[in-house]
Amino acid sequence: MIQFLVNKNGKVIPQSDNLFLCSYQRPLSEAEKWLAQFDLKQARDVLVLGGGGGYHIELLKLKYPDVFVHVFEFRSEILEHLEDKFKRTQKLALYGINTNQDSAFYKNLFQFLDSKVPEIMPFRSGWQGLEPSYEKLHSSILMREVDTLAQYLNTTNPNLEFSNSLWEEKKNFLTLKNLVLANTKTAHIDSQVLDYFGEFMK
Amino acid sequence: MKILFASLSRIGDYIQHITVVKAWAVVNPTAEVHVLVNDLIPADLMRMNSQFKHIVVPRFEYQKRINQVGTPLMYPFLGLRRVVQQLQGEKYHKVVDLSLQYQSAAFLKIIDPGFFYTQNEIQAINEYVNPADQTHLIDKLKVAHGVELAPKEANNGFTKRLLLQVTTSDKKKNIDLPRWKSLVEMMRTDFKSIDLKVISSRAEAKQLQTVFSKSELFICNFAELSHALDAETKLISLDTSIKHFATLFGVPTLEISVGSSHWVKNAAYQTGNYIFSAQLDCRPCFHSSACPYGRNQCQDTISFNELNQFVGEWITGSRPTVFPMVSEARDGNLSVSEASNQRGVKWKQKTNPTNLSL
Repeated sequence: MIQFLVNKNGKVIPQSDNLFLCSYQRPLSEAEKWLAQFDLKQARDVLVLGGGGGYHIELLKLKYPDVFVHVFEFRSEILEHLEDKFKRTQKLALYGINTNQDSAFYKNLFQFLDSKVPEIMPFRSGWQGLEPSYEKLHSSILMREVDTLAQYLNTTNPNLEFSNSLWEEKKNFLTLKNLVLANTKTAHIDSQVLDYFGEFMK
Repeated sequence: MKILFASLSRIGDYIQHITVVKAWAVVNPTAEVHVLVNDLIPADLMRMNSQFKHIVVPRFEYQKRINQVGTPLMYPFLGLRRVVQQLQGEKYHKVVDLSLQYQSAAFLKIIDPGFFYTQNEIQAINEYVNPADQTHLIDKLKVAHGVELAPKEANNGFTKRLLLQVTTSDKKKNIDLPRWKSLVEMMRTDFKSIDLKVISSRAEAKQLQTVFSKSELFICNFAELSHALDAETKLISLDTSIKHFATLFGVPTLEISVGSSHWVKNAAYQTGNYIFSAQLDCRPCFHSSACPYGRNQCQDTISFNELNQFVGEWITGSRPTVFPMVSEARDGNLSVSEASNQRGVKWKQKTNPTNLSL
């Protein structure tokens, strides 16, 4: 259950089970600090994970009006609040996500990542109360763990093959260098592209 | 005919490559020319050559992000695959590598499995990496690709403005900033009528302001700099892209060659430029290896008193009496006078064929 409180400056702050989904006192300062972490000079699309009170999205749109902002949010009440807040905003899409995702969801997600290659912008204040779900989704998007990479490869099926040793390294945090070294296929274009990274990582 | 020229090195190389591409395009006016570059090349510089379609491989962006934890692992792969697919879709009749490097050849092989270096190109590469060779890069490329090119003469006229390019991207080719500051102060005292400015990109302005005041800097990009490179301007530059850029406008340049910079191979492709070259046995060293002394001591052999005296003669149009070398055309190629002064003990070892390990 989400409640919407109004702070002393008149800002609407969402609260879930006594947890604020953005800063209660200074949501604008929080938004500025959050945005300063990212380099968006080249970005055309961004994926904001967590809607919170929407102040970070507002600032993002203000500073980068040409960037297309995609917002992923689990809570339907927050989505409704954001839909109302941004109903006149161009280049903004809000996506409601279920906490239990099926393979069709991941297929769509990875296709979305492949086609838009958005900058990933987690807004962790907005995750409060649903951290495990957001963490799982964030981890799938980053593909930096063996399981999440396998999920990506099984869904999108690029022409890459990796030696078994990679998959046995369950605790391994993956880097592209791991993949270049573990890639066993050489003839296909996908493999050649991956191998090329080996050239400039030497 | 659709042709792709790959220029996957640095900005200075790109400016020289484009000179060759333009000369090639003159004799092949119906050809559709595309140029492949990396993300070091500024957009404003590419726009100045917009008669050729430019395709950017953001290699340094990939390199930066490959191991960034907040970037999806496959992003660099997806980005590069997209560029490769775009280039494959262009169906080029010919692919030419102007960078002459293994990495660019490997990339072009993905785009066009039939890509290969011609005998002329292989010869150019072998000769260019030979330390004993004294042929300018453009002169190598023009032979390899059968184009007509000769260095043009620098405009030598009245001097109203003197610009200085005091930094390079390569530590070994730099001179300490406080030394530059002392030269600027000397020149400001001695040549009061000259408008003296230190060129600075926006990215390096903060670093330069640790030594120079903001009013001493000319903060600009290439497009803005082009407006200042007129007939009344002279340039003093280390081995940088700026000196190659200045040749497009015929700006007379005093080149300062230290570290791995070669006085002919890396010179601006223009005759009438003066070259102060650091005298040390190990000069010129290899681009890829760090200076064994830590600090490039060869820079100390450049006398700023001599340089100041030279500038006085140069800007007033009188015949300079203190200069080690001047660039000139010889058999249609770029050469320098007095190059023999440059050969130290280690240089002689390098040029001894038995010591060549290339």
